[in-house]
Amino acid sequence: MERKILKWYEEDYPQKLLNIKKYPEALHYIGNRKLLNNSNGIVAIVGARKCTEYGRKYARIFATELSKAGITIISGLAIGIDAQAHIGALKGRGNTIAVIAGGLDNITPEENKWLYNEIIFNNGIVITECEDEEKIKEKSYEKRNRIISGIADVVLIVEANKRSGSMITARHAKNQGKPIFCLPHRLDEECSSGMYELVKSGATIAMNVNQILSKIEHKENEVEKHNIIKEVEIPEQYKEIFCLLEKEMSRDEIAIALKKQIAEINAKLTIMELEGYIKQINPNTFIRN
Amino acid sequence: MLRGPLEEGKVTISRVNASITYPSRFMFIASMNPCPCGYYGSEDKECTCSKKEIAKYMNKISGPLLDRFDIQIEVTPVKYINLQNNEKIESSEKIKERVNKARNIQIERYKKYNIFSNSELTPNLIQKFCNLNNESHKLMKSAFEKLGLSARAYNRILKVARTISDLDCKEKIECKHIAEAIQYRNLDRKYWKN
Repeated sequence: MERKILKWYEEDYPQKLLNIKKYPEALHYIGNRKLLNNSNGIVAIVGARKCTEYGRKYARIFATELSKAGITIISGLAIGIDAQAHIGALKGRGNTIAVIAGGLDNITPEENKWLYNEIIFNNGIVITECEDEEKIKEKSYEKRNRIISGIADVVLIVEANKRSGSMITARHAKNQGKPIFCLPHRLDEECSSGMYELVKSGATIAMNVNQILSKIEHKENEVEKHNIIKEVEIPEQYKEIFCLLEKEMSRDEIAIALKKQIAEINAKLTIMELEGYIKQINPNTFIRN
Repeated sequence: MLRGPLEEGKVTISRVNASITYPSRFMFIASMNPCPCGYYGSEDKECTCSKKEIAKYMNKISGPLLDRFDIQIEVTPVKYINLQNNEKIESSEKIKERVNKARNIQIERYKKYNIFSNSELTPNLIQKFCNLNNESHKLMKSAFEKLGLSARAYNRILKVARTISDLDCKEKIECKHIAEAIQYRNLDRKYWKN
């Protein structure tokens, strides 16, 4: 698809972006420019590159559910939470906005090139304020983040350490007067201090999709009730393992905790994974699905 | 390359004047780190490698070679608390007994076929000795569809399941044996995609 340029005075230029200080005068883009002013609302979902399985899961779920409700998801095409937000959106209505830090010649990271292609293929859009050949500099990410929060109506921070790019996005969002949501986290996760900072400075804890939808002037009248947490019926013989896997655990830890033979645990893990109750996140570690 | 000898149990060396075939039946055991720094997936220390480096490292073993390992398992570092753990663990002596028992079952079963163990089963003999019941068939089918296992893995899983059921002193392969065998093909699966 062709690369094009969108100037600030054009109709399709994201109008909300004009409200921020130092808005980019031109956006370079590939894809569906109509998305930038989606009247149903735009939600930014961002977070850490190095993230927990829990964060990835809910980034994906929130993105899918919001997307199904007509919202456009915007994020930064980074690995980790950002990628999951885009993937979730692709599973919903399918279209999503990615804002990249460098020029369109330099799609990084390499691992997410496939995602970049998927986004464009699915009627989404990839934008940047940089010239095509521009390389990523130290400040590029910070500058990019102001565009993400600038275009969005609401910002959802899924996971962020105290000093991280996502906190910068949150700061931009605050300065721009956008409502900020953040995901509840465990105390023993590294990011929880960052999330606490956010809540202290006025962010809301996101418990469900409706909460976010209520902050957006929503044009679609029929929004179904969205339930994030599903109750699953687990057969008796798998219950004890399922209960343990609230947090990620290795097969050895499970066997030790339940005082059972590893052979028995292994057999059960296979069946539980195939039934979709749990999933394997790396060769030795499992978690609830 | 190792792949031919692994599969056929013979190694053939061809030079100008002659081509000689030697027997090469061996058990191949190997270990590797999960990533260049060695801490990927570790709880205590953070891995300093990028996803790209990890993928590059894993790619050093070709898929076809990895595929020919019957059993692939990942182990986590042993923690101090477990080293001095007093809980009773099965002793090597006991394990040896179980292994010998399973071994004898196999020798007895294959005495007419000129082989000694499950690992030597040919595809024909696999069909004869590794029969699956309906339930196990279903399990295998969904494992292949959902976990992305390779076709080569199929026979290997059957052989490992046969061995597990021998260790269990069962005549027929049961569903739980298949389920356990599938668990031992860890590295086959695709993890590092986001």
